[in-house]
Amino acid sequence: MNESLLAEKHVMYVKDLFRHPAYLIHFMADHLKMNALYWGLGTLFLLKHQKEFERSEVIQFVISCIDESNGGFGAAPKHDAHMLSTLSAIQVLKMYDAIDELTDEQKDRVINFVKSMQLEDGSFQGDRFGEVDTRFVYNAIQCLSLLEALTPEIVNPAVEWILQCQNFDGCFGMVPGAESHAAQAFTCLGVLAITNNLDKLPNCELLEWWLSDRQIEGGGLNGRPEKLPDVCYSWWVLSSLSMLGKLHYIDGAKLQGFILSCQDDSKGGISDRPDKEVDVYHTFFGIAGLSLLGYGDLTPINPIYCLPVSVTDTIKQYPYRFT
Amino acid sequence: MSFVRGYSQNSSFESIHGREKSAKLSESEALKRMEMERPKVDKYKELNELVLNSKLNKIYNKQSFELITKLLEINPELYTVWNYRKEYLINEIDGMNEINKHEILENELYFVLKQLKKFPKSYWIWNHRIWCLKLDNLSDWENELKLIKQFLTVDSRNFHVWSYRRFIIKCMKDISKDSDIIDFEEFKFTTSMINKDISNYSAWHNRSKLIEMLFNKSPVLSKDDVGDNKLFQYLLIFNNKDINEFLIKELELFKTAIYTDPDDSSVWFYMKWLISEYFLNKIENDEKIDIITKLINDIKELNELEIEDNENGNDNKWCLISIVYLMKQLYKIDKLLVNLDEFNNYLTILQKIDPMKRNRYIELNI
Ligand SMILES: [Zn+2]
Repeated sequence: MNESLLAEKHVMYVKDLFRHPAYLIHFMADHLKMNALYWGLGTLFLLKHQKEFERSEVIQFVISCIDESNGGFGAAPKHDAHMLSTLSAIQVLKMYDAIDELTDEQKDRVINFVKSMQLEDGSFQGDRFGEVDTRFVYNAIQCLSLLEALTPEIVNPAVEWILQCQNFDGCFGMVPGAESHAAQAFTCLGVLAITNNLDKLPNCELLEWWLSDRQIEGGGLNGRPEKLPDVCYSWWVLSSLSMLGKLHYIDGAKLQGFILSCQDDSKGGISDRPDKEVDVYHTFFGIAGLSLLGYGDLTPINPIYCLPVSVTDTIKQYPYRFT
Repeated sequence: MSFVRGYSQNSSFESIHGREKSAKLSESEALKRMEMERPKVDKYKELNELVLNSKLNKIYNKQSFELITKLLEINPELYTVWNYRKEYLINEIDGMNEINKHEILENELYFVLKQLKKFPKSYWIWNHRIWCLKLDNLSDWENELKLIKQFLTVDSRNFHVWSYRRFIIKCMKDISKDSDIIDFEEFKFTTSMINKDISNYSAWHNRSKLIEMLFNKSPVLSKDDVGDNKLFQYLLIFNNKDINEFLIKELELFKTAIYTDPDDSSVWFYMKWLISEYFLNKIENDEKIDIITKLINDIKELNELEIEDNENGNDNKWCLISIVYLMKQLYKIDKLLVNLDEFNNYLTILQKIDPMKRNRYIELNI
């Protein structure tokens, strides 16, 4: 059982991931390269190793993923634009303070792409094929926030729609009618928080109790009632509680112990549960959770944007004041 | 995308859930694995390039469709290739009559089903199935419901499957004159799912949604139409919008559930909703008081049994959490009905038996 964070090992793990692809699994991962870049780079930033990659090379890769047909970002070159990869791309640029490395035209096109994904009811689709999910609303709202392009015309219907996704237990589902899921608490609260609308949320206490009940025997958090604990929920649940000002409703020390017990002490990286295979997604969200818990001297993370606080400090707050 | 020199040895992009841990490979072992996988990698790369390039060139012929199929069978997560497949299909059915269109989309559903059986939790594949059904005006909804039942038998909590079910039901309602009959059929279905497994939170969730809809609009059916007497009682309750009777009946089900498994959290969350302002605001004060006091007594009784059963003589956490919640609700109606010492005593016990959430009990105010 590991009692402390194996920071150097995790840096090594992330660096290993961004070498040349070697096995079939590496070549088969094009569909999530952009997300993985955000998770990997995020991990390095939290561990204060943000200089490991050549900034210009990363930016060049991100720009090579622009989908020329609509201006959004795909997960890899030649891949279609999608809301998931578009947000990751903008987040990576933001981490490097490189949004201005996009040309004005590129910036306008990505803003237009994101806006064009909004449907009449205020929700957002992931791409032009119609899948709707609170995740995509979050993607859109954070993207537009980072690009300083939020407007009441976009925000108000999106917020109305998000509120319709709240359920009998106080938590949120993927669409109105869908079952509550802790990851959806993050996306929905995130939309409300970015747009300065958290006070519109009814039943806060119900949600706060439901979220804290995600902590189960052993200290780990699950995503839905009667499910197994999983490191990634350390982020989804913890960030949600943090946005509600109720981080202290769960036992931080116990959760910390659970996350640390999921480290691989030879390869580096963090897995979903103890003694399982590690991946960059759980590595990032595990360390992000530890950062929110104030562990060691990790870079502090912003619970709303899931980016280092030093990065989010420069975000223009909505509603914008015109001067 | 590579920002560090050399080849990857021990890392993976995928978000892996539940896979067994692999041992760290040494440099020579990694090299060996790379050599061994090279033929497969070369084939994959070639196929992948071929498909992406023919997508860029907007080639929509049988040969490209076969390549798409081949690639998706190897890697169903390639959303761009699913998109290409959609573009191909749109192109193919363009101008076709409904019957021919249906035939093509039916074949497509068959392909999707094969993939779903292998990867029942892939967002992209479920998404593709929904996309197909939206295009087809001759879909066989009953058949979809049958499939859903099979998927729920394998995993009764798969939220993709539940979402898909709600989508199918919505499609059926859109073309039906009696959409409230469909809602009632769904109510029957979730009741049967709960009876099968009282801790199926997904089913409890769906029940909450259906109840809201049925109180809004419910069908008028005879006892023979409904068949089951218990369900017929529910139907009358919905018809009469009789919230008080509903709560009494639903709390009987709740009681059965907590006696079946008092440590299962699902049904305790559901009870919180039953005794929330959503329903309470619609009944009289004396009805509220009757229901809540009886419920508190029932739960106390169960807690006593639990204390006897527990080796360490501890109270049941969920019993106390619920009693505290109910006392709070009662206090809102009439302060004199609540013994504050008793209330605070429960909170003190909860801090002890549920120490991880100590702070929320400390902060809880009546
Ligand atoms: Zn996970």
